[in-house]
Amino acid sequence: MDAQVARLETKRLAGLLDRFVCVRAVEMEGVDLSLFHFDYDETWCAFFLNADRTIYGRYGTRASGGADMGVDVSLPGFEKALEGALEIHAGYPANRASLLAKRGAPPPAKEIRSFPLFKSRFAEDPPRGCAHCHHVFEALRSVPREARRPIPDELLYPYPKPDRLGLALHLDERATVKSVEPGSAAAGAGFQPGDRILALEGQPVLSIADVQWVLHHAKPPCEVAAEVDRRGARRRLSLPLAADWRRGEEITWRASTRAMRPFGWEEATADQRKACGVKEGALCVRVRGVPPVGSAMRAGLAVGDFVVEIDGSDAAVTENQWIVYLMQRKVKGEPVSLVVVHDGKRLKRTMPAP
Amino acid sequence: MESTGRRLAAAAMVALGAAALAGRGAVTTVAAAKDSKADLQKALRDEGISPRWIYDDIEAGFARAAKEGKPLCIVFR
Repeated sequence: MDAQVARLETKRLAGLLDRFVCVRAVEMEGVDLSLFHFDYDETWCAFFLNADRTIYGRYGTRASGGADMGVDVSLPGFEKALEGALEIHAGYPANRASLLAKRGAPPPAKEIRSFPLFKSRFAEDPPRGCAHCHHVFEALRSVPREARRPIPDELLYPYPKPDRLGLALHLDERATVKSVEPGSAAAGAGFQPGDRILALEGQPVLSIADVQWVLHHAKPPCEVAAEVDRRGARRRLSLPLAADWRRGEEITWRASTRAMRPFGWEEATADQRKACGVKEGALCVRVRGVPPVGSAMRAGLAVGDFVVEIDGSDAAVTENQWIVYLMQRKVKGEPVSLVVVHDGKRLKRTMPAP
Repeated sequence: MESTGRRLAAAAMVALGAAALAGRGAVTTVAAAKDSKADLQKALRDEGISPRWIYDDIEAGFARAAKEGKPLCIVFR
């Protein structure tokens, strides 16, 4: 979709974007992080704003990798968000109060080069490499990490999709419910397929990204106030968020989690498990890669080793659970004990948590 | 972002750690960028962009939007 938008490939898109001033940003160095809050692991994100920097809305969602990668945005959905942004612009500034919460709280630093993590890398002249969007999450997470505090849920599982609450939205529409999972929080709240979400917590909603924005900033346990259009009639619904509603969200697809992973993780095959002598359901992970500079290499892990025990437990865990364990149960530098199978021998390895 | 080109004079995507995690060899893609947005665009192989887009200059976008009374659409890619 990026190429279609960049090249204005359809008449409809060109006509819509003719009514905007269009900017294509390709790197994060110098970007004002106090204004541009979004899911920094996305590969594509659009902001709609007034010239006075009031945010009208966002577009761009990506919450999965693998086969689903790249199917979270669509040209028709983007065009409808553009139409919505123009409607908001036409009503501005009378509607300004409803837009204020679309801007987040100031981050610990306004620019990526001001975070201690990246000071040497991006504050040099010239800098070493490009500042990518995902570096912002790495910088934000480094603040609690360096202070030896667990990374909070909202930074570890940022911008969860509404699907997590049983609410699937149409990709090609403007925040319109496609399906509701029976028994889910969304079903309990009374959402129905075809409902168009007009506002959440009083904020006008243009896209799935706008829904994610409100959910991300909610303080659970709480209820999120929703206003929907159901066959032409407005209804008010209340969507409950449990305290731990984010937990379990898949985060391994996120580029920003690379810095949290001491080694490349690959589930062992049945033959490999057998060769390692591990029982059914027990942990057996093949080390797929070891960064040339990092705790795993210093601990002596090698590509092709099999990790069969973590901190005294041989219970199987996913890579997602492994990352969460390191980031929320271990402080930076705290020892992690591993048992690995190396060339058929069981060896103990100890590495500091990243 | 306003002095991107100069700051990117030594730009090369550092992908060693990521490549190691993925079990692949190192990948470096972006060649040295020079002193302009055009060079940056070329280095990123970000070609075929409509001239309607202001390239990698958010502040220029705000200035134009204020002058023309239009809203902004800012794409991060």
